Parts: sequence; structure tokens; C-alpha cells
Amino acid sequence: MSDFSRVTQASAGLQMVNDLQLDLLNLTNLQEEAASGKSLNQPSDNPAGTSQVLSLNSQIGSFQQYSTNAGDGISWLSTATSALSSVTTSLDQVQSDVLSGANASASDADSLQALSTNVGAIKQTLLGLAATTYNNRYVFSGTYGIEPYPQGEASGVSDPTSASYNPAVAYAYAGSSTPVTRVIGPGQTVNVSTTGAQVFGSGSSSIFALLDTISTDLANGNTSALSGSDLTQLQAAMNQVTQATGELGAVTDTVEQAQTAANNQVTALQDQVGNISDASEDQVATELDLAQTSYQAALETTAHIIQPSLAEFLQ
Amino acid sequence: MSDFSALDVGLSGLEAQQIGMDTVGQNVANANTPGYDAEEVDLGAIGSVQYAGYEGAQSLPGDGVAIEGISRLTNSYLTAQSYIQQAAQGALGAQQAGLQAVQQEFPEPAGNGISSQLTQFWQAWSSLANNPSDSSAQSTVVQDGATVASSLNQTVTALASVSGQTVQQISTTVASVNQQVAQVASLNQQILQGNAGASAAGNGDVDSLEDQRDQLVSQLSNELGVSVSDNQDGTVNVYSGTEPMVSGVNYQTLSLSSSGPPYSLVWSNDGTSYQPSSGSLSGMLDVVNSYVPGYQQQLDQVAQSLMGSVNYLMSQGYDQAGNPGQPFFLGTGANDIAVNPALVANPADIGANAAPVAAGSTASNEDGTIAAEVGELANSQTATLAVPTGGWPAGGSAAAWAGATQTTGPEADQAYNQLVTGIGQATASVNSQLSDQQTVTANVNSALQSATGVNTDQELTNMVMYQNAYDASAKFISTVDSVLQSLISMVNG
Repeated sequence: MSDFSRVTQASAGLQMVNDLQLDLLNLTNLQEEAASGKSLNQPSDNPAGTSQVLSLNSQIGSFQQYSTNAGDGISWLSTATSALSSVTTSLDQVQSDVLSGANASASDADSLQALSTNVGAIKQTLLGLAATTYNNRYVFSGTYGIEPYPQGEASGVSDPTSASYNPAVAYAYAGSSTPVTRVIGPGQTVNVSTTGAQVFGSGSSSIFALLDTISTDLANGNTSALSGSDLTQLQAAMNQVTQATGELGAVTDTVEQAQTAANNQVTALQDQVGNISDASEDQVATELDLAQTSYQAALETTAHIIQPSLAEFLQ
Repeated sequence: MSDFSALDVGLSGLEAQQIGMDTVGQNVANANTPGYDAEEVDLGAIGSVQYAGYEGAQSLPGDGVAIEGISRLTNSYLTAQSYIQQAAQGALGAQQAGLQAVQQEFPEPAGNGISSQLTQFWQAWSSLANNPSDSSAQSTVVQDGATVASSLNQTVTALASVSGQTVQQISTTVASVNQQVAQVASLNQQILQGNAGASAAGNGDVDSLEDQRDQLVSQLSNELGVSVSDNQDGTVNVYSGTEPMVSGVNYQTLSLSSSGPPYSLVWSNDGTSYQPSSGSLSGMLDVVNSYVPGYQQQLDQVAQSLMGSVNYLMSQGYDQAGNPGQPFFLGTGANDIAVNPALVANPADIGANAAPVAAGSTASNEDGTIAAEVGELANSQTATLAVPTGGWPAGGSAAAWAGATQTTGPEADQAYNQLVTGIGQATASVNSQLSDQQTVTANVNSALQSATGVNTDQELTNMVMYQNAYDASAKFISTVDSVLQSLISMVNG
């Protein structure tokens, strides 16, 4: 056989089939991209992108959780704040009772008794407010899961008219002095609670003991005490509550800002994930179009090239 | 030369052209037969015989044409190239199949894979920190932990089954290699016998046997890189590496080592083990010896990072009643990691808090600091890991965690990210190598086909040539005939 470079019909066929296969594979990949809308369907599509997306997704999870934590913190804070605002209202009423009592004459025994009863009722209201819960947790007990003044509502020790009256036991603060915290950002932890000890005090120096004293002083018509130490101490207690409310308000602002920041961060990170893993629709559509055209062209060429043979021209 | 010998010359021409036409027919018929090498007729002129004492002998035209044989078109360089490239493609193809099976077990980054389960797990801890005594938050942590643990169990089992299936495939392939090797040896035998009788019967049959043998060797090269050397007697020796698989009519078989990884092939002749360097068997051995065990080990590291980091923090914590924290996970690796059964039974015993309650207090502890720290693990690159007393093999018992030592290691998300990225890189690299290799193999095979296959145009041209020559020889015979007729009628007249 001669030495010229030889080509056979079968080898030409093999080459064309191979070319068609490559075109078809390309077409199939692009179709998958277009159908799923993702250019990153499995790790091998883009290993470096996969690594980024995994770590971005993990960050998104963290920031979503920060947002959840902040939301929970905000609810906690608003429960505590609204309880404190009721406390303030109640204390305002006590103050007006004290002022009425201080200015009353001794003959007004009935009305003084009524004021005294009223203050006693307010004490019970305050004890109820101190035991405010959010999500089954006492918001003024710090990190302890226990009612802050468990003995306060018991009769006897908390009844100033009783012989066994013992404010040190009745109003002993049973919670912890450690405030409750929320993680609201990377390395960002805030105290979302103020403890009962800070707001209401503990034992004999608590607001409840003070109200017992006021109640007794009202019943006894002890006007000098009422206009003197009772009023002073009451105002100090009111300041304490106002200050706690202000602190909680400031914390609420911080937590709300942190929540907004976390939500923004989630959106930004999701955009980044989208940039890496989403297929650009325009690009895919164009490439798909090109691939289809090239595949069709290859098919037509193959159909035309393989047909002619010397056999057609031999008679 | 007698007048009658001219008829013999004409006849030899007719026969030669006839054989030529037959060859064209055979070639055209086999134009698309895989492995068929085009045949060509080797013709030679028969020289004249000088007769002693023949006077006036000057130069005589010869005694016609002889058919010297029918040979196959071969190209040993391209054939060897084809074997090499097919073996390389076989190896990459087997690696790709294995890696894709592995990759399918990691539905990342979009699916609900281990990475999103880990994220959910960390979130559950952070939520527990918000409300450490909440029983639903506690059971969520336990459930999410169990989900991650069982996913790790399943994934490592799935890797083992990829490996198991590949081992089975290796056995099947080895069996078919052995069969092919035996067939090559048996074809050698037939070719040897055919060549022995060749002088009498011609060697047309041997050509097709040789085609069959080449075809078998070509298949062998897909599975196991082979090289071929020709022997004088028409047989071939087939080698893989340096070991002869077929030498003439003898052959040896391969078997798969009974235990592994690492698995290897074993030669039947001397029992030595063999790691082929190309062919699908080499690719499959890579999958079971290197890829899968590597990924299993990395998955163990993910499980150990998870157990070590969470259990370390648990050892710093106290449950809501003030009792010291228990290990959250028990296990030795990815295959048996599980949430501590004691915590599954009593999720309230999770050591989520940093400080015990004050002595004498009946309060439940709800600081949640440790739970918050576990939740924050997701954001660290490295973590403090507890290592059970007696090392990881002892991690299945809660007691081994009591006196755990500490070390620093990559955090579980990081370790998992590395694993998945590694699988992606290996798969992507094999994919692109394979696609390049397919082009190379196709080119070589196409070149080989071009060199040794059938070109129908060429065959038809030959046909026309043989036809014309046949017509001419026939015309020659009829002319000689009429010359003889003239002579005979002249004598009779």
C-alpha cells in the first residue's frame, strides 16, 4: 500500500461522533445550569466556590441566630420595661397616698385606714410585678429560675400587722445577682435584664418593706414619718425604678440596632452566596443558544460529509 | 515458452485479479467491523525459466502472476499508543466513577447536607442559651445533635458501600481480564497451528484470528495497561508492567487480594502482588485504597472535632440543677458518633450553664453561658477539643470523657468544609483530565483506524483496477485461443 496519509470513512466517523459528543455534553451541562438556575450544583462544579458558599452559609446561620437572639432579647426587655412602667405608676399612686396621709388630720382615721389598705394592695401588685415572667422565666431573677421574692406573698411573715412579721425573710431576694445575657453579634453579648435586687431591693431595705412601713404609718396616722423618711425613701425607690427603666431602654436600643445589623448582614451574605452559586441568566441563555447552534451545525455537517462515496459514481 | 503456456499466464492473471476482487469484497464488507484491519493481496510476477539447451533464448516474458499472500495493514507504533491512551482513559474513567459516587453522598452546598445540619445544631444551642431550662429547647438540641450524628453515621456507611461496590467491580473486571488473557493465549495457539499449515492452505484464516487477538488486547488495555511484543512464530507476548500475562500459548491469571485496604492484585504464577499503574483496575484500586479511606478518615476528624469541642465545653458546664455537665456526644468516630443516651433520656441534664447554683438555693440555674459558647463554635476556625482518656477508640464510654485531655484542632464546620472542598477538587480535576484524555484517545484511535481500517474509496478504485485487469486477461486468453484456432485450422487445411 502506498505511503500517502490515509484516512478511512470509519475514522472520519469516529472523529465526528467524538466532536458531536463533546458538543452534546456541553449542551447538557448548560441545560442543567439553565434549569436549576445554579452554576454550582455539586462541589466539583466549583470547589473554591463551594468552600466559600459553605462558610458563607455557616455565617448566615450565625447571623440569623443573632437576629433571633436579639428578637428574644427585645421581647424580654419589653416585658421587663412594661412591668417597670406599671411599677412606676403604682409608686406614683403610693406617693399621692403618702402626701394625702401626711396632710390628713387625726380625725380622718377612716380615710387613713383606706389609704393604708390601698398601699397594702399596691405592695401585693408590686410583688406580682416582680414575679413577671417571659417565656416561663422570671425576668427579675437574673440567671436563677426561681420567683424573686418567693416568701413575699405568704401570709404571716409579710403581714406587717402579724406578730411573725419578718421583712428580712419575706422580701429576701432569691434570684441571682448575675444578669441574663443575649449573644447578639460576633463576640457581642449584652445584659438584657436588671435584677430584682437592683430594682426592688432585698429584705428590710426592699420597696416592699418600705410599703409595709408606709402602710403601718398611714394606719397609725404617723404624719411626721410619712412626710419625712417615708417620702424620702419612696422617692429614692422611685428614682431607682426610673433609672432601671432608662437602662433597659438603652439596652433595647442597642439590641434593636444589633438585630437590624444582623438582618442586613444576612441579606448581604445571601447576595454573596447568590453571586457565587447562581447562574447568570443572560449568560446561560446566550451560551445555551450558541451551544445549540453549534450542535446543530455539527449534526448537519456530519450528515453531509459522510454521505458521498465513490460508490455513487461507479456504474 | 510454448503457445499453450500463454494460456496459463492468462489464467494466473484471471486468478490473481479474482483474488483481488475477493479481497476488495472482504474489506468493503468489513469496513465497519471493529478491530478489522484492511487486507491487501501481495502479488508477484513469476519469472521465466531458462531451459538448458533451448536455442535462441534471449529474454523471455515470464510465467504470469503469483499470489504471494494476503497481508493485514498494521501500525505497531499507533497500536502501542492506542493501548497506552486507552489504559490512561480507563484509569481516569474508573476514578471519575468512584469520585462521583463519593460526591453524591455530600449534597453540598445547596442541599440539606451535614453543613446545614451543623448550622441548625449550633442555632439550637444558641436558642437553648436564651432559655436554658426550657424543655423544648433542650430536646431540640438533643434532636439536632442526633440528626448530625446519624448523618455522619450514614455518610461514612455510604462511603464504605462505595468502596464495597468498587471492590466487587474489581473482582468482576479481574475475572473478565482472566478470560480475555486465556482467549489471547488460545488464539496464539490457533495462529501457531494455522501458520504451520500455511504453506499448503494459505493464511487467510490467521488474519481474522489476528484481528480478534488485537481486539482482545485492546480491550485488555482499557482494564490494565498492557504492552505487546511479537514472536517469530506469529504469537504475541502480552505484558502488564514487567510481568508477562501471555507468553505464546501460556498465560497467567490475576486475583484480588482477599483483604484490604490496601487491596492489590496477585499474579497466579508466583503469588507476587501487583498495583497496576494504568487501566480501569488501577483507577478502581485508587478509589478503594486511597480516595475513600482518605475521605473516611477526614469524616472521622469531623466527628471527632464535633465531639471534642462540644464535650470540652460540656465538661466546663453545669446542668440546671447544678450538677456537672456530662459529655454530649459519645463515640470513636463518624461511624458510631451518637448523642449520650443519658442526655437523650433526660435532656434537662445538659450542662448549659457556667456556674452551679449557690449552695442551699432551690433555684434552677439558667445562665446558659456554656450553651451560648457552644452556639458560637460555628464562628471559630479552631476549637479546644477534649480527647477521651485512652484516646479516640475509648470515646464510646462516658467514663473515658471524665478525665479527658485537651488539644486544639479545627472546628467541625471547618473540617467538614475542607473535606467537601477536597472531594470537589479531586472530582473536578479528574473530570477535566478525563475530558482531555478522551480527546487524546479518540485522536489516537482515529489515527489507528485511518492507518489500518478500510477506505472504501480506495477499495472501489482497486476494484475497478482488478476488474479492468481481469477483462484484459480474459481478452488475452480469447486472443491466444483464436491464434491457436488459426494454427490448428491451417494444419488441418
